[in-house]
Amino acid sequence: MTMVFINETAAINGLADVIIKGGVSLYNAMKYIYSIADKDFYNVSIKDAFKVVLNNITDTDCLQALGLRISDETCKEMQNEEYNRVLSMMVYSLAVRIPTLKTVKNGDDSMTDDQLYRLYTAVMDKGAANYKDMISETFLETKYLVRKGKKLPPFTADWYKTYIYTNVPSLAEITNKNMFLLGFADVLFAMFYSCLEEELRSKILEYTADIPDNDEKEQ
Amino acid sequence: MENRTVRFAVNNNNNFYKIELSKTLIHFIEFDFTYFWEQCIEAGRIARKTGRLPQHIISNAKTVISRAHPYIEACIGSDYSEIVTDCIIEYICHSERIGLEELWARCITPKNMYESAIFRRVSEYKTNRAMNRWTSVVRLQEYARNKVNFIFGNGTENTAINAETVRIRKEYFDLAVSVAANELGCPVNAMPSVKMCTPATLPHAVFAVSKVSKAIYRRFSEALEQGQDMSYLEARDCSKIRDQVAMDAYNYVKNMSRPGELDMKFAMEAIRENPAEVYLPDSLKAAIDMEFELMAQREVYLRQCESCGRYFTVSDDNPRCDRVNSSGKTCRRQYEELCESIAMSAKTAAEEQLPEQAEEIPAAVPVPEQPKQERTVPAEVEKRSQKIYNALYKRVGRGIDENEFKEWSQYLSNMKRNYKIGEATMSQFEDFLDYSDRLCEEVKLAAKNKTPHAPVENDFIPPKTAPHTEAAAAPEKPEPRVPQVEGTVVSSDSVEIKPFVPQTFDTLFDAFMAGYQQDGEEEVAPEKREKKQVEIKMPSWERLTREDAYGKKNDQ
Repeated sequence: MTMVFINETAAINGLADVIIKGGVSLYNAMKYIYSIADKDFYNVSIKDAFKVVLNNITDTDCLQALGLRISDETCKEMQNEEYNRVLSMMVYSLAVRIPTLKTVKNGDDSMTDDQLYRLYTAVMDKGAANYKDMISETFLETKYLVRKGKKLPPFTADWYKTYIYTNVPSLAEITNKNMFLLGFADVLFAMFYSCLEEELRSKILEYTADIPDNDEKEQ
Repeated sequence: MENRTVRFAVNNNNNFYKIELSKTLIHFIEFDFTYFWEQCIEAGRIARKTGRLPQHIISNAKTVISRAHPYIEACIGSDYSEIVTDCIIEYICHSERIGLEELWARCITPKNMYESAIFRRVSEYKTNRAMNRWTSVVRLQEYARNKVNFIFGNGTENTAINAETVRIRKEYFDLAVSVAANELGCPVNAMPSVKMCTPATLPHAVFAVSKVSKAIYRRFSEALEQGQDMSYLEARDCSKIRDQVAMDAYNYVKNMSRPGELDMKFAMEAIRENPAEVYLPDSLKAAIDMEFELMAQREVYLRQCESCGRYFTVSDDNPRCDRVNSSGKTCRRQYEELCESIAMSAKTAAEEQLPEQAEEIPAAVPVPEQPKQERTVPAEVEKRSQKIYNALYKRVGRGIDENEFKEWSQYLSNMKRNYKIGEATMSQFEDFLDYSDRLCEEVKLAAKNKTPHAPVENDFIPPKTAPHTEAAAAPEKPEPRVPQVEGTVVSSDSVEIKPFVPQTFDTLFDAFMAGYQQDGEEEVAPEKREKKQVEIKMPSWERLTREDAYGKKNDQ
């Protein structure tokens, strides 16, 4: 059955916003955590930083409470045009996984392919991009895997590392800070996606809430 | 007085603050934080309802705690700006029995400004960017109290307070902290410290002495504007290159000549307002330790009041303070009045009882009561007294009347008591018993003759007692008795002979019983005797007939 929203357009835009914000949060979280290696390596526990990021999936500014700042001083290596493209790629990497939302059920209802595609289009329209085709996954491929009920590959930072090695020399250099970045990126990507997926599920159910059943309407 | 005041400054604040040696310390160790604590709890309660901390209560609470110590007042806008939040956090953790980690996890997704403030503050604790200032102040108050007790407290040893004693005790206390820190591996630069500066060498001297600084800048502005930017050093450890940094800066003003007279006069006026030396403590503990140090150097000492137990600044040898207590008087004045009243009452009592000895009593010094060691009456003496007592008791009402017996009995108990407390000697006690023996013999004889006993010569020496203590309490000595015969009224002053009056009896039974008792017969106690049931036999009358009375002849 088709997933019925109170206001479908608003729901699609709302879900697109969550995905966009999720991408921005992941982008900022990478910078915040990278800044730990600048001066606060022994002051800030990365475990605490992860807890804050994963509990505030769409607002990583809470990391400032740990004393972390994004500035030219703390994240000098990330403050360049090449790295800025990572943001749109991160959003894209989340957008291609939109077909997995088909598994979200409200009773027997789930989002149709059309609704999922409209959501994907909305996200892409807001600036998601696959620069130099760094991300191998596509929307159609994910859709196929979901339809077939096959297991999706884990959400990893492989494309991110590849991009850095090939396009961001300041981060590709072997330094203490850069090795720290590559070390936490894998863990953060996987955990972040898991939490974002949960956030999207709850949002979908929120948008479909208070819709009376057909039986109730007839009565 | 100026010697007892020092000035200090803190970073991020251009003002100078004042510490009055010993007064600031006493004020801090006695400061009551209850009102501040209550204000914080109230703020927390409101914030939990409304979602934001009430600024008017926070402002009030910060004003209250600023009064605890000048250092807190100086840093209330910087280091101590979050002290109310700290107190609320402490209260939550204490009341809900949770740790900081749990509280942080609860507020990790803040729903309002209140939770956000708590989350931000606990995050600062976790990342070593802040500490709980409230608990720190409480711990430092305890630290200051302990240090005062250690250095100035009334210990068991009777050492007089002097410069050397204070210095040694203070050094010993500080050394103990250093030993603990060293053994625990605390880094040296993490410990609190104080710098002594002048206003011109303070880290923020340019802002503290701003008028003169501006004038100097105008002189060298051209050279300074073209100078090398050294702000990059801020992020580096410059502990090994301090001289180099200073000389690099000096290089731009090394050709400086004295300013003109007008400029110098202007500088003089501005600099004269500032203190000659300024201390720069980097924490509250450093400020407290600095006060201890300067007190020791300038010989400003504390003493514990013998009346109220609180500390006060030593000004003379008086061991009592000038604080007004609950009686509305100072401890010192109250004690003086107490001494005066004791002396006055002692003098009055002495004058009333023993005027001749009153002069011997010291006028203003209260008479100390010496503890007296109690003696015990020897067993044989005790036995002898008991025997006499029993013998006299048996003859109450026959050889000795009841009042006389009571008087003697009271005298015996007083004699025993005086002997126990050392007011009477054994010979005096034995003299009294000898007298009592003779009395007993007389009473026995009198009882046998059914007459009052003959007087007994009272030749024992009554115990002397202290005139102002025991004199009033001691029983009156029995009046010496003069020879007594039946029908005489005995007086100690004169003997009056009265006509003989025969014994009278109220009832026939009394008259009968008066001559019934035989000497040697078992004697009973008066009360027992009174209770003894005596069977009275009615006389048996026989009726006489006419013939028995007059014979038969009369009938005929």
